[in-house]
Amino acid sequence: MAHQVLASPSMKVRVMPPMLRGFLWAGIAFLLTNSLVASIRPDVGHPFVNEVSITIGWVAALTGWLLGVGAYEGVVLPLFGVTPRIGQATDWRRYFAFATDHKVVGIQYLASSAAAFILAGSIAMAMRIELASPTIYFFHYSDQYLAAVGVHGTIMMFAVATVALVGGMGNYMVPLMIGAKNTVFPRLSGLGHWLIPAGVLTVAMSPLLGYWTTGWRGYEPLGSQDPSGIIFYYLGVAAMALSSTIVSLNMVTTIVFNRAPGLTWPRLPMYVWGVLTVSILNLIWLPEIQMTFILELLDRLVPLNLFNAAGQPLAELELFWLFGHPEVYIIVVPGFALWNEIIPVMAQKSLFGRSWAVIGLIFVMMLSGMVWAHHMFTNMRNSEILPFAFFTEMISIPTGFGYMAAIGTLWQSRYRLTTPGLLVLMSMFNFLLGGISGVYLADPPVNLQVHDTMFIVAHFHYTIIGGMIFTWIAATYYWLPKISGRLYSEFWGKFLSIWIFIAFNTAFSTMFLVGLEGMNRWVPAYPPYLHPLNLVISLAAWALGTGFVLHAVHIVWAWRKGPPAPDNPWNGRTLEWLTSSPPPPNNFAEVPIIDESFYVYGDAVKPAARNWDRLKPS
Amino acid sequence: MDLVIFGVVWIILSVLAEWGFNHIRANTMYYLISNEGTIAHHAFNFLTTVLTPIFLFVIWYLIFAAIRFHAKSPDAKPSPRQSTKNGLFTTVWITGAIVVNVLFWLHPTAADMEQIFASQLPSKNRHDLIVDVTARQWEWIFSYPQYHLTQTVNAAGQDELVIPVHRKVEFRLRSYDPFHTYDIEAGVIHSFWIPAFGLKEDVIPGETRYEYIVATHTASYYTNPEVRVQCAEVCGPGHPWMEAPLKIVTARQFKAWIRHQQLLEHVVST
Amino acid sequence: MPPETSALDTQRHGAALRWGFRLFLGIQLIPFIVLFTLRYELDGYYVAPTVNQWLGVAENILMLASLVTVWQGLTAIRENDRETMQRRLKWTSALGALYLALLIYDWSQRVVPVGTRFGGMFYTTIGVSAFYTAAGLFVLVATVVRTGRVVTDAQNHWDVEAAAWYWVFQGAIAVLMNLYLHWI
Repeated sequence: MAHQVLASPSMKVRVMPPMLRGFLWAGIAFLLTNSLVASIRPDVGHPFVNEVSITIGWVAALTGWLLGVGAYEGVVLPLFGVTPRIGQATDWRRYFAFATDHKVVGIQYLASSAAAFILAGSIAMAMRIELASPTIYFFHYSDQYLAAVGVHGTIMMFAVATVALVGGMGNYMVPLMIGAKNTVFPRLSGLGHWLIPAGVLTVAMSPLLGYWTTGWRGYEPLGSQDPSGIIFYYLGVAAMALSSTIVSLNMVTTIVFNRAPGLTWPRLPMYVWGVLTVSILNLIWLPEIQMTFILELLDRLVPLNLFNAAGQPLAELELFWLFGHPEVYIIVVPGFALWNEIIPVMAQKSLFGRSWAVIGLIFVMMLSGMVWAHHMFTNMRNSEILPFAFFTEMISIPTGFGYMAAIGTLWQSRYRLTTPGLLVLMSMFNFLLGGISGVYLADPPVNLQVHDTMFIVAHFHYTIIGGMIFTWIAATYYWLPKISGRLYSEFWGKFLSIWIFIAFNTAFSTMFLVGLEGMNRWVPAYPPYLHPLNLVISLAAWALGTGFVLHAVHIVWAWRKGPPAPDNPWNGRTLEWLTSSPPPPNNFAEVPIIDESFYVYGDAVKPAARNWDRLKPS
Repeated sequence: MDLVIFGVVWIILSVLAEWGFNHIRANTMYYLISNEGTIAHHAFNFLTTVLTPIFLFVIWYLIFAAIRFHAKSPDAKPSPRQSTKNGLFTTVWITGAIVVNVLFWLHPTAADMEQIFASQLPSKNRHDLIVDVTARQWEWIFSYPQYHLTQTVNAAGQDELVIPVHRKVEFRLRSYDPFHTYDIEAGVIHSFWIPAFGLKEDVIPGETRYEYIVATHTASYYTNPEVRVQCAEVCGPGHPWMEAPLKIVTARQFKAWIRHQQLLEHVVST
Repeated sequence: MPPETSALDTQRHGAALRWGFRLFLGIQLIPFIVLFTLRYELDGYYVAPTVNQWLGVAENILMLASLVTVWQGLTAIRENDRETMQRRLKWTSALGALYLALLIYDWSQRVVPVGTRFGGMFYTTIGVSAFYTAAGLFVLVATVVRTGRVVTDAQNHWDVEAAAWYWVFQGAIAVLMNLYLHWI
């Protein structure tokens, strides 16, 4: 195997830093391919860098980037049966190169996601500067603002919300929680991460090709009329969606095959259930949206007439929302699971109605594919509205099961209100507001008024920031001692959590009102009567952004300089707490054998693994 | 004991909230002056009335749990009470969720949709005022085929929509560009939205859509800025400014306005 | 594999790889379902009368022949016959390349205009399936090179198996899509 090569120092080969090599190879590949395409393209008079050459050149550049960052040694040479001369680094450099250890990959995903979050978050801050005034003054042109909306939404969706809790926390924690030494497809998974930075950079650079105006949904026929920047939106999303598909394939197979002996399906940890259900959704819907985007790209480049007035404009909307609605559950389902992972540990109380909570996750997964057309109440036939309104209303029933389990667990418990514990309660509060506003949206008459207004914007930010980002921060604090071996500051953690909670609720609850009062989406300018409320939102949004950055600063500080943490600071029962912090390369000294539930607490309970005292490396 | 405190406070909070809500229920969706807007407004208020206690139950529970059940010391001691089931609670929760959601689907959803569908039946739409609405990038063009008016404008030359109060209007919505130099079929999706009317309809290139509405109040953009035609679906850089002032006038005023427009367009001469 | 890995673990790992690969092929059906749906929405089952149906049949015969040879290759390695396996895979690659060449000829005739509803779906659907064929060719060539360098026998031939499965998958898709757009 490759990584043993580095073991003997005499064989060490000097190589360029992998990421640098990736950039170099990507640049060379792009130049060569672009020149080739530009020179053989039959129609004369097109510019040297044109839409076709840039698309094909981008594919070459992506390939060059992946090979350069380590896939050449890690995947291609082994594929052809050649043992590479260079192995994987074992020090900090492994985080900046192709890696096969699921923990390294997990941290890579988390770091990329966090960077993408800060990047797309700063774009949101720019948007809120613009919206602090009813006239356009910060951006120069309206299409710049709209491109900012699109880049913000696309990066947040495909590099943060879909990724952080599955590719990031999932890759790191799931194998640990099921007692596995590694994942089934470590090389594929190592490759997958490097698609995220490529995709984020592609989308972030899209305005260089022209300000595209469709927002993250890329509605046709507007998309095919937009400036060329939208090409980088299609391509970037394709790369990021491929990354999440790879993660999900790896996670599902790992969960099915690499569970420790005794870890039966009924004993599967809640978070693993969450990652499993969300992975199934990813596997179904991400290939679907990739194909849709490829069709849109071809529609534009060739050009075809699939989605304009000569074809079917609505077909694109349908294909988009078929993916688009499961996507929102892809985002929050790991969050639901994490609530019921963290609450029993913080309360040291048995999880209430565990099977109902799991059934809830599964039914949300199944129903999520049947509600998509509620995004299209404004453009569908009457007869089609009722069934979709029905399923949309019904999906709140399984969603409620997660709440039921959490409420039952909290009842008369002794709940340790630590930072993760507090953030989970806050997240439940926020998601409740998001969910309740969803009940209004499910009702078509109300929907027809608030659809495409800031009410919707507030609604989905409540579910995504409130449900997913808050839970992501909670999970980061919860597992920080495990990942880094260090503790954070309880005071700063709680202080900053309360900060973001207040800022978040001020900003987005006001946004509901602005929407009800008649402010539509995708506008850098609005009628002056909406100014005061928008000013409130902008100020609170800036406070929220600052709060997120301070959280990031605090987490990085704790990671590097925090006081050393014990192996199991919360007295959790799931398997990751039974190994050392941070876990050794193969996770456990021996394979754990499970014969107790992870979610039963009390005075007389035994550890979940029979050989719990021999799992730590000596 | 916890149960009693929690329950009593929850009931008090719910009653207070419902009482407070009753005071603002007329304005919960700000300003709606159409028949369909009224339906939406009633639905909104009905949902709020039912959802308030449910909402408060969870919110108050989270606060209650954080206050009443939080551990005084950070060390890991098992909670004194351990239970994984409570049949009564689970049954009430799940039945309650199903009942409430089925209720919401029957009323307001299905009942209101029935009403809206019925208002669109051809038999009920015989003597409507017809307004052809054309959405182009980026302008709303209004024409009144019954009065031979092709594009109505106000004194400033802006496109202007004027409709009489208490009379059913049939909007015929199309998206294309009559002023395009070579391809009038080039169009994108727009959304025809009058915030004060409480509904919107997407305008799709290649399709004709219909919207029926009765305004219940005279008003204009200058009395309330929600009385405007606004594009609600992003349609390119001009999207934020794709709006037009709207006036809802009495039948007499409408007649006079039509006459004025006909003069402007030389449909009739003085 | 760490040295202490037992035979049972290896077996289980093999099963995981097979299952995961089948799952991968399963989700690769989804893009074609999208194409199928969109074509149905745009054209129903209309086929332009100018399409050269017999060229479609010829393409399919080539593809079906390559499926037979790839399966023979897999059977050969199961019987520990590495040379036959490699020969069969080379044959498969040749047939696949020929198939692509014929497809390019089919396209270059421009029998349906690109901008029409049928034309758009004709070129995209067959094009996407041709992309899968091209990827399959790459995998086949890689497998031929690889099996000459690493131990490949009746016990160790996961690479051959995966390549064969993939080729069968793309072949079935290509045949169905050709029939669907040339005949139905």
